[in-house]
Amino acid sequence: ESTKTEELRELSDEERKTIVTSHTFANFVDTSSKIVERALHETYDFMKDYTIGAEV
Amino acid sequence: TMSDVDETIKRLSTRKGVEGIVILNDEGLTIRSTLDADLTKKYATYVYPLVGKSRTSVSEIDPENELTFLRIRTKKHELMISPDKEYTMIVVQNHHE
Repeated sequence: ESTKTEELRELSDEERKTIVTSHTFANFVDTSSKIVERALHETYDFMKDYTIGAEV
Repeated sequence: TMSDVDETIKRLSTRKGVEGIVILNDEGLTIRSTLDADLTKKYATYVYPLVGKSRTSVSEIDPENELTFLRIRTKKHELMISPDKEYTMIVVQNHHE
């Protein structure tokens, strides 16, 4: 009966534990972290010396 | 195992420039976060909707395409967002030296 406009509920510790110990979650964290690690390695700041939309 | 997951999160959080990692479920609720509660809630509230919107936009433009990754660059940070059917990982990186 609660409306969607109410604040997001929170997961209980038990719900979190169920998720965190699941295989699908472990695979997701493993794969995503590898992808993110590659993205983190890119250090070239393509915006350097240019700012679009920010204050002059 | 849970410890593998937490170890991976911990290792990722020590990477240069990484300020935080937030992992959400398919409702945008927080499963794990390395940020404080207030900041975590902000990311869940304001970044999570962008994922669904991006996903829809991509498939509306071309039904055979799909969102694979989302990067949002700001003055201070870069958000790296890895979306999945069930989970979303948000990594906040400070991209300055």
